[in-house]
Amino acid sequence: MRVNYLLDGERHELSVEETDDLAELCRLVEKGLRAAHTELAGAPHLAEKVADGLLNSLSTDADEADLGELA
Amino acid sequence: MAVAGVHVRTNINVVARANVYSANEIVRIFYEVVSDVGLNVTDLAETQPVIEKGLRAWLAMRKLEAAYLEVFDPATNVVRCRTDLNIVYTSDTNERHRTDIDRVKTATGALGRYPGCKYRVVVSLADGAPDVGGWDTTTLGSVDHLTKRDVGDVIDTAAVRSRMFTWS
Repeated sequence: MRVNYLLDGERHELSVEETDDLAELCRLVEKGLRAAHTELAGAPHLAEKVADGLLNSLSTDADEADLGELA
Repeated sequence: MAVAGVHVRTNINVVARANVYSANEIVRIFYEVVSDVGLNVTDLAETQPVIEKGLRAWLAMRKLEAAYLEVFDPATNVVRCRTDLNIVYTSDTNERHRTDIDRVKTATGALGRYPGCKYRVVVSLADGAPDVGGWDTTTLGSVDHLTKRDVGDVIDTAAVRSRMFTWS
């Protein structure tokens, strides 16, 4: 699954393994973000932003997720 | 492979909608409680964004174990009544979004009236639940002096079910 997000206004994307387990998807996306951006390593509430963005996107049948600004 | 991909996408969309619905309905039930015990819903309305943010995140991560609406006497901190929504996570492809609001209303209508009391929303989380902005660690007040009633299942979706209990 492709996950789009902004970091300080700059657009990025992350690709994560398809799964029907939402909790696992949240975990994979958060892990991928922290690995891709060292500045997010200690970011508070990143998990909350990931979960919210995934719920907003997936509940509307979108085929990719948009998490918005994460900074 | 394309069929498998569609299958996965469909299931996770069902789960996402179930989580959003359940978070919304937990808040809706708490509105019923606050209103039926004779208290002003303004405080709940003001904190609703923070409450929803937490419920959505913890439900999505399967970390929410229960949500509580605790009504207490601000002078003594004694709990006057409490509503518990215990969460069970399920895995079902039959998409549905049901709330037994009649059952909820019957139960909340029997809680009594508590003028002058205050209320707060508390959650119980599984290990590893992330912090959510606006939420602080706390402890539920004692309900040893109150009587517990099993209201039954009140929220039913493909991914989340909730059973309600009241203390009064």
